[in-house]
Amino acid sequence: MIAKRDQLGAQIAELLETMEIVAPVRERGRVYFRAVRSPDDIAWDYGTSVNSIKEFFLPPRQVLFCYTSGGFKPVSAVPEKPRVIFLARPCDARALNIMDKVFLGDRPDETYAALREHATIVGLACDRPDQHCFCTSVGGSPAGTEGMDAILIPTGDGSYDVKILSDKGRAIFPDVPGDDSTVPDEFVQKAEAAIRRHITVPDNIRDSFASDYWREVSETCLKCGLCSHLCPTCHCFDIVEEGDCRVRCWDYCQSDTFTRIAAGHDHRAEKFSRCRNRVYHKFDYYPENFGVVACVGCGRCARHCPVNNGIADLVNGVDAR
Amino acid sequence: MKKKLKIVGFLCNWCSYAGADLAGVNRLQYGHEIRIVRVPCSGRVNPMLILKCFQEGADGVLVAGCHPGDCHYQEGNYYARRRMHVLRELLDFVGIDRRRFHVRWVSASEGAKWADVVNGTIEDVRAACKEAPDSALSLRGAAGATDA
Amino acid sequence: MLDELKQHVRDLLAGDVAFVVAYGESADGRTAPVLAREPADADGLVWNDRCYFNLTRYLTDRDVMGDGEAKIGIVVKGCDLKTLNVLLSEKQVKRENLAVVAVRCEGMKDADGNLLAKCETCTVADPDPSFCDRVIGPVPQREPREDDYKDVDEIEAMSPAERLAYWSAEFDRCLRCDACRNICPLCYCRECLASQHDPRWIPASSSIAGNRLFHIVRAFHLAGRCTNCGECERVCPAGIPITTLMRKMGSVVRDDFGFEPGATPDQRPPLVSFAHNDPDPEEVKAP
Repeated sequence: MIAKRDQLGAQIAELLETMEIVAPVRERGRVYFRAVRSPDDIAWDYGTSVNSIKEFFLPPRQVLFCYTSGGFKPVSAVPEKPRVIFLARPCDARALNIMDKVFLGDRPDETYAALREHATIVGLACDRPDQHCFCTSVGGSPAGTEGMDAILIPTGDGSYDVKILSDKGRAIFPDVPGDDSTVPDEFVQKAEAAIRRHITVPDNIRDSFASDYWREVSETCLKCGLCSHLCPTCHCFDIVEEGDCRVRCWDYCQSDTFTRIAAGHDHRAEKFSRCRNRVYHKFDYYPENFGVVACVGCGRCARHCPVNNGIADLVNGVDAR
Repeated sequence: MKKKLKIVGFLCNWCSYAGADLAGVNRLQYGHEIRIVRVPCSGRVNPMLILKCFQEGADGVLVAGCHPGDCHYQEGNYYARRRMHVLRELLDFVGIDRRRFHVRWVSASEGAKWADVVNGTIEDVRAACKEAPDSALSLRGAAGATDA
Repeated sequence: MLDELKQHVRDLLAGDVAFVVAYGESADGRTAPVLAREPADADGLVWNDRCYFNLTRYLTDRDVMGDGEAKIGIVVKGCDLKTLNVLLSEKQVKRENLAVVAVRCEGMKDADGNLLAKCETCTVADPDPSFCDRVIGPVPQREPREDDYKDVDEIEAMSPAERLAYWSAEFDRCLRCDACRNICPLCYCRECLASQHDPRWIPASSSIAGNRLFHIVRAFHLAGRCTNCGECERVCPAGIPITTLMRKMGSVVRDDFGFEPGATPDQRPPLVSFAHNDPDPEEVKAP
């Protein structure tokens, strides 16, 4: 079913009465996924967003519980209203399925599970990858539907072909006929052909562990951690005491204190080993444990690296060694 | 019920602490809201100590030292004067109420001045608390738990 | 000019210089910092209006510098030279081990092609040759405009409550990703105070109060040191106006202590010195 932007906008306005809506908005010249108060805030024609939708499932800061003289008070991170995330790109939606392997495994993370249950993802098929996007090299597609409850396929004139992918999607778009949930071949082919960056993920990356390659490619890295913070599949966290509360917060493997252990020893003290470790976690250890590469090719690492490191190329060049 | 204020005072041993002692000896009344931490010199006061007080819920902080020129260690309070000036300007710039953080010079013979300084500081902090319950730096209670 | 730069770097590398920190291309073809080690690496150097990186950052990178005894080269713009002067004043790098190659600059542009704010008011586009070993490039033509400190003044004109609200909204955006700290050439502490566990001076998580503390402490630690290269604000993923805070600190240090960071390589940092007529902290300046 084809829906125009203002029709979808009107529907979002109605949903806003009972639900929290998260969508891309333009701020300070860039696009961020934020909770919106009005469909007028939405940046419908965005290309890439700075943040992914990871933070709506693994909050950057989450108070777990507080302890005061009044007693122990658990704190829930699940908002009162159900949440719909609009216009998530296929890469970001797929990233959730990849994170599920850790957070919804043998011992599901209560908060993550509740937030997943609580949210409906309406995706936006991608017709505008930039030079950093490489989803097709890591098992994804700009027309992919993994992780979505419904998908909007742009028709090129401000309208969208709406496809339902799950019951949750059906609940948001009750009027859309549900039999066809496939993205048209024509769109898929055109979208995949528009991807300019291709990398080769080697099968035998572990053989290169001791290679000097890692020293060479990490020379100008600053260990700033932006890649980890913006990455939709990076999910390391720390648990700290703050004030009267215990808090879970994002952490990053590039941080100096990340690998520091008792007596101050750090077995990843050198910069190259941090860089190598991050690549291995995504392209070796995660596939070994969970059967999937922990990268969706969104390109944020390369796009936002303060020193323009071609981070996507880190794994690409390994075979040459 | 009026909130019980907590103000931390960093007093240098040689001048301001002695001045506070003199106030006590002379039975001069000053507010009990102040809790005193004795340091060798106002120059010892690291801005992090001041910020930590606010983090832990202090409503105000007072740093007191010898008059510039009379430092027991010759120069300590000159460094403090510069450092505290920069800190005050910075805190003011980000909107932290100026009335919550004071830097005063009190000599060992100025017992009466000490009482005035403390009472003045308490009044200032109380006025600031009327407008906002905490310093915006506190991690205790509501501020730490429920924002962001 | 690029040829002259390349040849000079080639010569340095053919000589006793171990590597040269310069502008080149990343693996995916973008302008980026590079470490040229062999003379042939000089062929890959670039010079364009996207060379905004402050390469002095690598002079405090322990993985890059090792024991700091090797002779190395560095390409700097006039603004970067100020940062180098601060590093020299703070004895973080040895001048005799550096081959300082300064380039004259017409200004840098952001991703949208706009001239960077700091470049509009830049007075060091033609670097002072007394601080370098070689200066390369044509004399810059552009006249800088006067820095009116509008960003700082706008905030000072607000009431305290408005200022608090303004900065709270900004600090709410902060992820505590540490990119601003990690790109700053002057944030070189082996263990950053913000990372210390015991005592935990600054909370780890991104609460507004914690973020406020982080930025206050960082601004304080850079007071009288920051040379306004603007890299912190460029790399911030949330677009927080960090340079406004730094510029406020800079104006306090300039107006009240008469000190300009990075003016020469042998300054005594302002917060480890004093003057007998320093202003009293209780003085409130007229707006």
